[in-house]
Amino acid sequence: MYESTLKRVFGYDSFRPGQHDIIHAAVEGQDVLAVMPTGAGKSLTFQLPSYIKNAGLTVIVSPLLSLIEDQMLHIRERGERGVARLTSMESSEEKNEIISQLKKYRFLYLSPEQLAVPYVTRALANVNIQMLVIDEAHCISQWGHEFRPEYARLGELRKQIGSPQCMAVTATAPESVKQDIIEKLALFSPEQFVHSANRPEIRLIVERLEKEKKLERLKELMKEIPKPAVVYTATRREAEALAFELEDALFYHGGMSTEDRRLVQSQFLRNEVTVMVCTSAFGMGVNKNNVRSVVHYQLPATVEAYMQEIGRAGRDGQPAFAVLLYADGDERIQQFLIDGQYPKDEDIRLAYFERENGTSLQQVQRMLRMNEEDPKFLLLKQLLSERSLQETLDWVKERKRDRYRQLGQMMDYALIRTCRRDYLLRYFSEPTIDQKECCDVCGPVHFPDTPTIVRKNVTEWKIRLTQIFSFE
Amino acid sequence: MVHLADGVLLLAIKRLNGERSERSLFHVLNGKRSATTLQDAFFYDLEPVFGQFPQTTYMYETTLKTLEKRGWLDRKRFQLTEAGELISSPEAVEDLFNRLGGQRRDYNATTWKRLSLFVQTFMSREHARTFYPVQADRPAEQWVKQLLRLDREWKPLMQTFHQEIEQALERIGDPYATAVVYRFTGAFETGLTYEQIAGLLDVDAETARLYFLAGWNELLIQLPEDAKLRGFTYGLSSDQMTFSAHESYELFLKGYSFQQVQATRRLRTSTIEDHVVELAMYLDVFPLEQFVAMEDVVTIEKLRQPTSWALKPIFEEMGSVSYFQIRLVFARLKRGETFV
Repeated sequence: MYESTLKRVFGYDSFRPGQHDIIHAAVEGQDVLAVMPTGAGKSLTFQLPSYIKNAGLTVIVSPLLSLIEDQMLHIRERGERGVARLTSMESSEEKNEIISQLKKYRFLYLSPEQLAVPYVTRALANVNIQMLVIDEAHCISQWGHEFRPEYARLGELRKQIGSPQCMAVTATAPESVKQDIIEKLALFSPEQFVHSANRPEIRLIVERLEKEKKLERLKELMKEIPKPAVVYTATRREAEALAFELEDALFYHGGMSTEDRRLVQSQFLRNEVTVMVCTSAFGMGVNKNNVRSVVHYQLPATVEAYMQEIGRAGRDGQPAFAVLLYADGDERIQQFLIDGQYPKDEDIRLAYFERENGTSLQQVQRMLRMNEEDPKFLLLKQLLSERSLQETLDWVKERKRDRYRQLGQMMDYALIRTCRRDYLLRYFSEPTIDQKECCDVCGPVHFPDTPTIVRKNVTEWKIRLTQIFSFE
Repeated sequence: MVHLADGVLLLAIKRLNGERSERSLFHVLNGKRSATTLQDAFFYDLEPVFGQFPQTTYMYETTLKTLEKRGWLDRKRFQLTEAGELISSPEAVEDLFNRLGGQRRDYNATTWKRLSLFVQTFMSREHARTFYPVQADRPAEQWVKQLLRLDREWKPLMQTFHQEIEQALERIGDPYATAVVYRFTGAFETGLTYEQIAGLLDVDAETARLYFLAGWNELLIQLPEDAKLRGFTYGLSSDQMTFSAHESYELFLKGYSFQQVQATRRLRTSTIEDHVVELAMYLDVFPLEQFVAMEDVVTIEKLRQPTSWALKPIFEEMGSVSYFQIRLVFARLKRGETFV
């Protein structure tokens, strides 16, 4: 029933499974909670209603600059000019210009921080908002694997801009997280759409081995598995070291310059390089359909993170492989990383003590030897303003315990001797599914033969320059 | 594998001659535009590396520790050991160092962003390929957008750009040429990361990065005045002077005295002095005798040790001249003038 709009705006002939129902609910004016795996076409479900109803601005809140940038790129690519963003990247003049002409736009992307800026909130209260979209809505929940304090105020902000119709979307949300989203955003008897988290085309494999054998095995494995492939590691340094060891591999992590990150992504998207070794920084917003394998060299911190990361494989629906290499004690790296994300008890005590005695936040930051942008410090700053010392200590303890528990669930996935798919589905409160090609517990998994790709040799720079400037 | 980058850093320390601190070099490498840092860069021939190694305090500390551990650096005196001297001595190190172009790094970097984004955008459009922009830089984006709106014969112009780049790089030669060319992204070829370029040239990634910076700087210098590519530098200045010093300079040009400049600009004496030192460092012609008596100039020149730019010994020896005046004389001496 919306196919003609779909064709006109997006150029597609038909919807992907589930999209139509979500769009229908949104067009009918319902609040919506949609849980769809990455790659199922989430963004289309909140964009299309705008073209059907033409009833004002669609405001999209998204947690990551890279996500916003990527989505805007795609929207502009199809020729839509009515899209703008308010993030920390825009100058204040640019922001003012956008805010003074909000009527010009169909889509406005912003970070939760920007939505909370009083004059932005006020400006939005004065325009027609067709729908407020909360992307990556699981970030609102403390039960989720990526709780973001900035998301906590979204419910209140929604009220301030006139309680527009709201759609919350996320890729992964167990029951507790879903309840939290509904409550915190004050969704009004929302229509819920929960896609199965199952990705039938992905075969699940865990290999348990000794720590010393891991690198050797990874090298072998990279020859066996079909490519393009993504290898996830826990740290930047390890990503660099592994990329160096593997053939035809590049690394990607948050510590690289923007230009280099873009070069790497672009090469991978165009199949100019077949293996990407990365930290979890890679992936958000990367639309590559033909990733055939995702290998985890280290245990991810949560089952949700794991699902999201392996979800980057096989988006074209063709068979794909997810391999987790696990050695006893691997979880220690994640424990260490979790601990590093929260301020230490003694630092918390010191900060509260000093603040009570009138020390400025800046001085406290220096005393703790934390960087001003250090997420740990930002968290501490927020806790200082909202909670008493004891509450903060309890909160941090509670959060860490929770994160350890989630890590434990991820470890269980590696250790169990029953069907891995079944385990994952139960985690997301879904019924078991029987499928033929499943996991290494259900039966041996064979990698298809892959033709070895012969890499081009180095071209002399003059030839390369001519290729770049060629109109042929 | 060749690690020239280590040598470049060591050479920077060597040039400081033990007369400046670790912190001084840190600010030079980060390109801090304060009077002291600009002067350090000027006197100790560190302008090529000015701002070309942006880093945190933590990274800097790690680097120094590594250099010390390898036995190349004596951190107490902040001077090189014999082994360190050896690493910093090859001609290739000095050549790379001197070409890095830190003096014009904003000019170079902005021009690169504009040109690389333009080439990618134009060629992708020409081949009807969608693309992922290599530059995430709003000003560059807007600049390219405006440029593409102009009604030009773009195709022949692109061929001219191609020729101009090729001719300049032919003169500069490898490894610089390879490092520059492989950073470009076309409709079908994505530029390489520094790690990949390092692989082509059999050097480490940091050296590859420096080859690119040097090659690109050299390319812009080699371009003929009337080169079409110069259009990409539109509105940019390669002037080294700080904006504030420039404002004072304009007042001086109008015939204002030091006091008048200070009164008009409502700045401290020391700030205006810093501006005057900048003028002495960067201007071809400078009226030194207006600030220092000629006989003092001559005495200062005679007293200076040929390899040293330390102010203190002269200040103590003379007693009657200020640090400001010694700096001015040093600046002109450094520029090759002589008064004896």
